[in-house]
Amino acid sequence: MSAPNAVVPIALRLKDVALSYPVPHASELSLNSAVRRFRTGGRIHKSGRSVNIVALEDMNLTVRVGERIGIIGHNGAGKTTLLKVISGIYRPQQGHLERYGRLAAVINPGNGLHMELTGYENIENLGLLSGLKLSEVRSHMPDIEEFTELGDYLSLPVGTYSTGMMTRLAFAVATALSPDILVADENLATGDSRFVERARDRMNAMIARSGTLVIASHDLDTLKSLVDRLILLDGGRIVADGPFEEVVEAYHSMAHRPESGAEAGGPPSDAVPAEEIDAFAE
Amino acid sequence: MRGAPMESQDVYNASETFGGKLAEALADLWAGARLWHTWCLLGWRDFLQETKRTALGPLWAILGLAVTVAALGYVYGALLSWPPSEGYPYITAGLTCWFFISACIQGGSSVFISSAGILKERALPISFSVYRYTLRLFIEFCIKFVVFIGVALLVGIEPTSALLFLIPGLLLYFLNGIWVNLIFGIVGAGFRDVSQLISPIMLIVFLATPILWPQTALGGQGAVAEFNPFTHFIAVIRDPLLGSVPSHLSLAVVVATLVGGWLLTFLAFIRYKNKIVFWL
Repeated sequence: MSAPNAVVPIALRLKDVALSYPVPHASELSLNSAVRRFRTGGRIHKSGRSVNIVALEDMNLTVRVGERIGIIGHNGAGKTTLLKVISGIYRPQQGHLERYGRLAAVINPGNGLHMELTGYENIENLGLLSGLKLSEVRSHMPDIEEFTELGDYLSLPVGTYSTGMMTRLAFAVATALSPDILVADENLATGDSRFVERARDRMNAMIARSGTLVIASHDLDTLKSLVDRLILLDGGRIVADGPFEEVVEAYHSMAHRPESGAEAGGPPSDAVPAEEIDAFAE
Repeated sequence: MRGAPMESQDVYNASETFGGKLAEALADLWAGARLWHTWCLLGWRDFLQETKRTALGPLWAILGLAVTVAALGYVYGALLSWPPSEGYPYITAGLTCWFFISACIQGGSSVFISSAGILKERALPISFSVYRYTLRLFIEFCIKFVVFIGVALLVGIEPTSALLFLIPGLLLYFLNGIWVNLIFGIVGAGFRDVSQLISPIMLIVFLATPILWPQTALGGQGAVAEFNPFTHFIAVIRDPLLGSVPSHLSLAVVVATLVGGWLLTFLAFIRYKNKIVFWL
């Protein structure tokens, strides 16, 4: 399944996507050069009074229906930003994005929750935000209740929950609405091992219904059981894209050469090679 | 497709031209408006949930206003030797309107900041949070009319046909409320000093607007208040409540503010729409 079949319809397509974050009130930062690249993050670009972090560049990615994609890379490589672009939360400044099918995203579960409200009320609000009617959300309730295994905690304010419990809640709601595309960030690891296992089962069930999965993680073991294609990001660019083992190898060789990205891994097929980006003066 | 789920298709082209950004901003406002059933329900729930941990719950909206009216009505009635049958209804109507206006400006300046969680987790139209918050404030505004009804019954104000002017009046309040929340939301998210600056300014505006005092109290200088747009905003609701038709000038100022305000807000929205989420 690693070679996408041309007849399988496209779930997602990114073409020449570039995104940079404006950093408010950062003009006082002393940046000696106009462009500075940090080993772990995107480049920081200063022009005039505004400071931008280049988070994604030259992003080209096609995902077909039913594909299971893992995204790996160092902290700040652009994994979460890419997930947010895919989900439509961030709009890129350049490029083109296409997405087909209903998408659910679990990126930072705590973000979507209201700490003063109970688990039940939050589930209802999240369901409403997904476009459901209240009666429809309530019809999903038994399934969500069962999956979260939070029991009586669902009647308590979410502020009393641990991070792992919030993740369970958000993940249960996101997957209960049977999305066509599920986008998940590494947060799943905040759950206990039982939850991680159940989440994996649930994602596999979704994949069996030919759902598309895009998941970012540092945990290669979890990824291995879920995905059939890996994308390696470095400095906001795709440096490797291909079958699991191949990209893992590239990732490991990159870890030994932190300065120069992942050329050693040899980006296969259409991946953009990481070029050395030097600081240049204005 | 049950229950109209989220947009099942999303095709996005980053636009660098003004026309493209304009179309995108318009599409956002439209997509947000189309989710009216969602923001109506959530706005109502927000209103209820805000006071959930209190004993009186949403009744606080009414009680809070009633206490303010009782205290200020007593003081200003004495200060201006106002007969209670005139002073109390006047102050009640004015304060009800003022609380909505000032909530739109002050609350609006943090509308995106307080919905940061959802904006960073969900692909909703940016305008959705604004509609939702405006509606939540509008519900509270409408519920507060209970206090005026109580005062009117106490002092014996007869309903007149001028009350029909409440219909366009309330509509103008809601539509103005949206742009006010949106533009102050944008400015407040980008410049955090703004929300700090607004409260002292709002206090000055409150005292300088005929809410606690009648325009006639200015004597020969009464016309000065006409230069204050807030005077007219208060008048379009207060006049019908007190049994008179709002002046053409007041209606014209409120309609002109609606058009001008939306134009200005739309220009700002075109420019900053996609940046808001990065400021949070």
